[in-house]
Amino acid sequence: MLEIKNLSVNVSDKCILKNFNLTIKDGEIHALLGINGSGKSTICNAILNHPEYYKTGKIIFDGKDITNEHPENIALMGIFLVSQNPMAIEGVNNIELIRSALASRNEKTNIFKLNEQINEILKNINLDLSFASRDVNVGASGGERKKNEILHLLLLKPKFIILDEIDSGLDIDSLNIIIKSLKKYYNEYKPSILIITHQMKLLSSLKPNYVHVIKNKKISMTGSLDLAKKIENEGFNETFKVSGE
Amino acid sequence: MNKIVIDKDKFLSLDNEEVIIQLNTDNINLNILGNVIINEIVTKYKNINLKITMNDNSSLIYNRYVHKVGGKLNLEINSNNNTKLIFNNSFYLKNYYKIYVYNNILGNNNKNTIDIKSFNVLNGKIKALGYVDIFKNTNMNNLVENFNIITNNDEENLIIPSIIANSFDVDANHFTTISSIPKSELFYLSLKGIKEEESKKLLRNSFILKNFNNDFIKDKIKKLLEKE
Repeated sequence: MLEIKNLSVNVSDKCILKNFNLTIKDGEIHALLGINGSGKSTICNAILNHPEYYKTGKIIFDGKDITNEHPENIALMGIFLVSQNPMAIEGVNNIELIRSALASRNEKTNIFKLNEQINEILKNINLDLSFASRDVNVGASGGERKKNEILHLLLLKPKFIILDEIDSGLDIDSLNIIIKSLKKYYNEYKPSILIITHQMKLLSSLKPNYVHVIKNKKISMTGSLDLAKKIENEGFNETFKVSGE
Repeated sequence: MNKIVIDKDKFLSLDNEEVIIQLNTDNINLNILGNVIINEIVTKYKNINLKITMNDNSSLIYNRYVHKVGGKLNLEINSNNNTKLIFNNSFYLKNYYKIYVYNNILGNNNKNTIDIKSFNVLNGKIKALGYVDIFKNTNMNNLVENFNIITNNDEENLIIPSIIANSFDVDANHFTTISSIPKSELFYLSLKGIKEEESKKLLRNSFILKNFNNDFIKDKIKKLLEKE
């Protein structure tokens, strides 16, 4: 379970989030909506303790205070962030990265089995098999980078997934492939998921238990999938006007 | 692949071959004919004066890796006509290294790329001089010097570029970057649960190895770096 208590986040002396509270129980799917610049990506990076963020408040995961924990330890506890713009790293290939990540988890890898697993996932997410030996995201399109993150996710098997606009820049076929992979993973492992998105397609497919809206640096409204549908139809301003916020 | 061990000061001609060289001497003249690839791995302290003559219509890819040790390389390159030289030198430095590159362009239509990458730890530091002299009445020459240093200590690194162009028909560029390991890349790897020390090793290896396209030298360097 993830609990965010009275979290305030400053980035370069600018306050992005203030008194932000959110609780996500095991196996729950939550969606976070908000206008551009409202702090959605900030909360994702804050959970992973981005070194350039100054925070007050608390972030508790599985009963442990992870507010100031090293990012790699947070990842090792089972939190996986699919960032909005997965970066390219020239000279580090995917297999090296995956083997290092598995080694950090003390998982002994049989290279032949791992290659088989990787190839199977690459086929399922419709990525060329050469991706395994290619440098991480170098020369890859936005969509390919997102799929590559799914490859990492499926191999590292996190129990808490943060999807920061995984659907941005994806064509509909790629989005469908990613949704299918995520749904299969959810049905098998029941992770908690926090979705950041601007699109209904992902939400309609993953069916979040709760939908939250960030306004004024904190969660100002919480509802069901209907809230997301209302925002899709009427926009953020109209939705807030009607609710009197 | 032939291995050439050079124990005495000498003049060596290479023509259409790929070789590994081991320099046990201070002075060596290389005469390049045809298409040549040279691989060199340096693991002992040395002061070397290396003179390369690029004969007309020749090409050379010189892959050089210096592992941990300090030393000095005085490299003089003389390019005649229609030549292509790629000099890739990566360093994993724990000591002081001086590399002076003198690039003399004597004729026309030469393309020289000098790529120096140094990953410095402990007492590792580098002093590099990139001196280019493009002679009068020469045409269509293209030179690129690219010096990149990643430093993990407080040592002073010094890069001195000097390009003298006596010809109007030339494209000569010098680029230098000195930085620490990119924090954004460290953060990205940490998101996968990779320990900081391991992430630094991955990024170190990638930085050093991306200078080379040659699998032979890459495998040798990887083996050396695995022990670090």
